[in-house]
Amino acid sequence: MARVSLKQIVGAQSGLRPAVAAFERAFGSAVVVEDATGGVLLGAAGGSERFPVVHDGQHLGAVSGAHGAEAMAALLGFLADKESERKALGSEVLQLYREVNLIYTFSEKLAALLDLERVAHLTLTEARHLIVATDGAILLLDDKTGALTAASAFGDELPGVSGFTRGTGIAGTVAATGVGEIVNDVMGDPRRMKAVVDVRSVVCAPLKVGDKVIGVMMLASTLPMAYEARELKLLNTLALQAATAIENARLFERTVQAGHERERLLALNKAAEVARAGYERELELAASIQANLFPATLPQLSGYDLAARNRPAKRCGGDYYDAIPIAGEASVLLCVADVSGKGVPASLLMSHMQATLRALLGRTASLQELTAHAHDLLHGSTGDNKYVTAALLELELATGLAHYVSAGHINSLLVKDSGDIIALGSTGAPLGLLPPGLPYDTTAVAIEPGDCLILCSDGVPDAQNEADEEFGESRLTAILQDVRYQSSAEIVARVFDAIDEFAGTTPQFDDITLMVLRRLER
Amino acid sequence: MSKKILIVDDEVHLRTLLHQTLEELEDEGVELHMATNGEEAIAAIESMQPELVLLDVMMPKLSGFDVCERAKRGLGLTNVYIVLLTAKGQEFDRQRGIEVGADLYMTKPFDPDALLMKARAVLGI
Repeated sequence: MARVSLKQIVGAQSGLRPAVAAFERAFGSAVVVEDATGGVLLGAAGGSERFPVVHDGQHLGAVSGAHGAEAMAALLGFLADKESERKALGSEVLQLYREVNLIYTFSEKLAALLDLERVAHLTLTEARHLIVATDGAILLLDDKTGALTAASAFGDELPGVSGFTRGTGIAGTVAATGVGEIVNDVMGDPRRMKAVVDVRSVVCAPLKVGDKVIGVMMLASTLPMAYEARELKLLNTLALQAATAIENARLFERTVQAGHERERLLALNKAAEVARAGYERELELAASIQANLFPATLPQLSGYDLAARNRPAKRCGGDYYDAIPIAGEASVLLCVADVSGKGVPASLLMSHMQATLRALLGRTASLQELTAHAHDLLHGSTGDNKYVTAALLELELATGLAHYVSAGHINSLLVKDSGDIIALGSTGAPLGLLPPGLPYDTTAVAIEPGDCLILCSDGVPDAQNEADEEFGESRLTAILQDVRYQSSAEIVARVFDAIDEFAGTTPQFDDITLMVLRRLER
Repeated sequence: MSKKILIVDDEVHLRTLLHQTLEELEDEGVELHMATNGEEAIAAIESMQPELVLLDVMMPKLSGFDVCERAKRGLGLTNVYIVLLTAKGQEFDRQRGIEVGADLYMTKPFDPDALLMKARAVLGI
């Protein structure tokens, strides 16, 4: 019951004084109203008989007078009851108004926040203004693991407590069912988590966005407390607004992170682009240096027609060919070589091979000796897995007699005028692969007018098509038989065209080199 | 002489809420008076010269602005502290509020605790 005083009643009821006057006239006698301390509120002091004014068992004052004082005392008691009811109602309405105002300002404050922790903190702070609690926490649900982790908390019991999961404990139940709960006897609740030692009463609401539970909000008391539906309703109202704000904060955070990630990737991309451009320039330079290692023009050989072409699989290649007149142009040394591997590393070894060959030329007694020397030098200056296969032919132009050495190279082909094809096989190990001091055999070859000699790298027979089939030696020999009377340049072009046609859209995976020497008819 | 607060609002529930908010001041000898429209308000201000007036802006006939202007300028009662009450979200003419000499404006829903504190400060209790 709200507290009332007789002074308030007499003062508040503006119509009371005229009513009392009418009352006095009716009874023909004046009355005096005194408060509990004897202070006169109405009328003149004194009176024969005094009647107490009682409200809710409490003595508020007295009415005295000759007649009607008792009735007046009863009336004032009745008015006191009504005033007390009005006050109780008014204070209840004011409390509701206070809640409305808090929820209103809470929404406004929430709208200004985009940080998850601050949203959680503000929600708990506002909740404490509306609901009495010693402890509180906002626990967010990890959808995958089911773990409930505190985004904000206060009090002695709830902060620091971990191990909440969906489906266990009171908070876990609310997270699982999405329905808020009041538990005023936590100690007697079988779901109670042992870790939360001293909590007596709990009111817990789900944080829901649409139908999805994203966490729970919990207020608790370590003192015995009877939470009511009113508190749960309020908590639900706050939780509803907080859940949306939390979801917004998360969305905002994700957007910001995505923005940062995009910027980071752009920066990385730019750096990679710069590095790639630098690498590209170096590769371009390496390719142009390597291109200069091939003979700019092939020597004119009297009575012969010589043509060659190299096409690396990457920017730089590991194939090499050369044609070097020797013995005062009476002879020529032809060479096609293939370095193990591809790309820049192969191209480095290829330049080494070219320098070695050119350096040894004219300093050795025979082609065999030159080959053995080249092997020793390459072995000494390259790693274990690096080697070079090479086909070398030393031809005396006038007679067409030649010495042929093959250091582990694929077959060279001599297409006779008759159309017969003689395969020239390997006469020793690849250069640089095995320990030094290896002997190399030589094959004597006679190139007669109308004959055509083909030196190539394994990029020719190994070229693949879309069905993973290889071009093979048989396709090569078929073409050679067909075009053997054409110019060397024509033969080279035909073979490359045939390879390209065969490969279709399959990218070239190995370097391709082809050298054709035709001895002209007399 | 006891201090006086005048509550002016044409809506009965707001008068009741404002009264309820300030009721505890009655125990400290403060008189709470009410007026339900602008004309009543002018008459009450002139006759009792309250220390504090809580004045709704949106009222039929005489608006809160008009009442404020007449009190401050017309009657020359510059010592009366006048709080204008406006509904939240409603367009409020701040310039007009300054022109008519209002001391403060508050939005509704109002914060009861803040209002009570303000009243105590104005009355010096």
